[in-house]
Amino acid sequence: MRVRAFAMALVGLLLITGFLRPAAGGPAPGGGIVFPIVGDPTFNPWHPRHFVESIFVTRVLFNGLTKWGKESRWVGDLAESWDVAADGLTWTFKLRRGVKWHDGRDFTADDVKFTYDIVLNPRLGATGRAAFTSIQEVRVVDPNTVQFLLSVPQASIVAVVGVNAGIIPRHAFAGVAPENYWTHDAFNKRMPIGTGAYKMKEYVSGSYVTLEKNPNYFGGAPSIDTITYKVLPDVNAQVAQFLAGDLTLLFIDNPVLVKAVQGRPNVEVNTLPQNNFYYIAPSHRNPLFQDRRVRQAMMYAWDRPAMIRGFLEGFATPASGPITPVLKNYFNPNVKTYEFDRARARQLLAEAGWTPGSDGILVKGGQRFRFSLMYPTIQYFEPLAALVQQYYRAVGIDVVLDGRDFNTLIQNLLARRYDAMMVWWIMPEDPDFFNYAHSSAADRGFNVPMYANKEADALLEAGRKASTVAERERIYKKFQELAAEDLPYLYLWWPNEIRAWNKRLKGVPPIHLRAAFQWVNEWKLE
Amino acid sequence: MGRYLLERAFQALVVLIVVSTLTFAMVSLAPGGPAIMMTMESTPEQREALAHQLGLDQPLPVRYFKWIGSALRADFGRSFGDRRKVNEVILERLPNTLLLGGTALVLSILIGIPAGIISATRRYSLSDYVVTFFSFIGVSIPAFWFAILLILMFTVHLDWLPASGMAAPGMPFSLANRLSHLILPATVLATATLPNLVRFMRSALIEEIGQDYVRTARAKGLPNRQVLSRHALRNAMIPVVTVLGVLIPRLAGGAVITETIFGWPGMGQLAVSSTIGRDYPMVMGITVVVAVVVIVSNLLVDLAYGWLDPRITYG
Repeated sequence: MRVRAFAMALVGLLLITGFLRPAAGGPAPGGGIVFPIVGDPTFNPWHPRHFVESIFVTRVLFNGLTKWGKESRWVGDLAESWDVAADGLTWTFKLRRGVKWHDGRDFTADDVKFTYDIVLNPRLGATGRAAFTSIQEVRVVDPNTVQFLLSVPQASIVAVVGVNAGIIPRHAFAGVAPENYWTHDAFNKRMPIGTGAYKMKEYVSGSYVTLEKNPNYFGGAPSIDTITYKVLPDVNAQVAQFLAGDLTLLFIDNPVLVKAVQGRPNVEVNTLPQNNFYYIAPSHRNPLFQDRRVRQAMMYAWDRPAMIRGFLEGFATPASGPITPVLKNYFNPNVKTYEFDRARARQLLAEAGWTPGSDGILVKGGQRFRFSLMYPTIQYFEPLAALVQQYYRAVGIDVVLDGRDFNTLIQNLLARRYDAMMVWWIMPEDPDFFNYAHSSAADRGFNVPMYANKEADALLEAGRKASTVAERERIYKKFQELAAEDLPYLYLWWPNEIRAWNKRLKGVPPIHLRAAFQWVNEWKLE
Repeated sequence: MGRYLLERAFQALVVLIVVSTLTFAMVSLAPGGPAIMMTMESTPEQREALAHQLGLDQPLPVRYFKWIGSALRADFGRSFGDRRKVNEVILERLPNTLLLGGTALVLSILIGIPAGIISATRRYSLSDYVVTFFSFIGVSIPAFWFAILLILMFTVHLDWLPASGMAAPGMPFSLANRLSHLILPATVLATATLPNLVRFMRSALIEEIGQDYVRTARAKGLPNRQVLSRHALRNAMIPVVTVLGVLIPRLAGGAVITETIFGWPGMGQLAVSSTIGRDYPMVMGITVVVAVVVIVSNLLVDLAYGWLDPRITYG
């Protein structure tokens, strides 16, 4: 891994120094835009193999019931309006009329039911199924109305039906038995049929996918003729190709590479906060971390602004909790924060009964403060983990580094085999943090720290039952106070999304790119 | 000869069975699991359902015999990722890799063998030093760095050549277009293989030139050119052919780094992504294909020995 890191640094340096500065920003693409994806996409948004390389394609091919709006709130997509019964258990969605599939057939409530029956079928293991666990049944009321029947109230359902929840056509699966849905290559891998702004034009496996505009798109005909997704697994190659003008826009995954594209003519680099947070999840089942003061000391012990400068070129904000400022009114800015303060960290550890041993490592009742930190060996995690180790060593905590390839890391995460885990969450734009911190999710859900706190449970349950926005705001603000004080997770930062595009590209709304792609019909090439 | 080939075919079958058994055991026992099951967002029920669909709920020996049963009928099953047929995917990727690897090989032979001959016949001359210098650069330069360097130079700066893929999206096939996409990746790949040929050609030829039969040929008045082409070169080719026998399977297995950087949809890229994703059937399919290439190229090398040196017989 060290060799690889060195290699990456070498290539990064080559790109940054520009080595050869192009005379002009690079030729502009023609009537279409080109975007890189890291692998061969799967066109069925429910396919177990629908990962990040597919999201940007399916979000353009298909529509969900709702989508994340340009004004940073949920708006209707295939659904026109919705309401919820007083008990919070029945949600009724009115569907948009006159919507056509790419093959000209009518979109109806039957398609919505067909799609959700796939998700709700436990034998299929559709991707993202975990988000829909409170949905019991989807019922067709009439061709333009569907009802979602929940087992427990969940106010965030409007967000849930809008994230990678594209509705797919029932007729494309006619005659296919459910157990063969994932091997139905004709739809999943060759000719998807959606309702979206663009439809399939050409797909060369392993190379690229080209979509062409759908003039009958219900959201308004797109202006750009085609979108081409090029399969380019290597980020350095992506940057090089962007500089060459072969790509119209791209994500910059590693902030170090920003320097390579910044300041070039015709290139716009912009950044915005996302609803993500990076964290260390200490196992709350490990006696080491059970004292709240210890967790607080671990927050005081690191200098996050310095780390953000070092690894992220400043493109992040130290996180005060799991609910990010992206959620506007739900965000609570008045919670306990943790500035870098080693003295305070040492004092809290001392209060918790830990005293420095002969080698400077803390000891309590004969036990040394030593734990192993698991993290994936991707992005900048390797140097980050080494730095965390240094910060903790300085207050007497001995960290053993345990970097894993992502696949093995997930295996351990699912089996809950770790002292502490350093990863991140990308969450739907809703404050509902139930799945990530409720005690019921400690063994088998997203609750990676295995956190169990009655007060937090009560707030998270109340938040799901709350029917008004004002009530939800009050509950989640209270939850944030608790989350800052009690620290279910040790928060690192909210990273910014960094995007770069050719200046000819206009009209991309100021929301994260995954959502902005759902407004692609409004993008323009000048 | 027929008997020899039969023996070799039998050996090949044994090798294939051993290789596939070992690979099957290793990939199945590696930590982690198929990527579609290893997502943070999955629930235990979801993973159980997928394990059942993939047949992973059956014991390892059962899975192995099922696999080998269908593999004997040349059916490698379906990918654990996007669930496409392994055969279909490999048949899509193999020609791309053969095209890239073949071009690199031809380039290496066309440049490497003459360069090695020049280097050997004009030992310690300026041309020898130049050839030696560039061979060392070639073996030392890391592919990922050289590839990005070429892209920056020929695509970003000069805008002469495309930087990725096998063709410009949406354009009808044209030979010129394909060739322009081939130049950069083939150059990177050939830069790594070429020095091997040069060095082996040079040292083998130097050794032959010092032999008695070469002195005899010269003594009977044969011109230098004919001494080389008729006598020395033919014998010097034996170690070179051996190196080719090693290079061919390496190129057919796909050049991971080159393919990844240039977005070339070949076997190397596929092998890496399926290994990372623990796509067992795909890994197995690729292993068998590469093993077959190794076996066949070894056989060809052995047959070439006999053609180059009639003293070598088979039996």
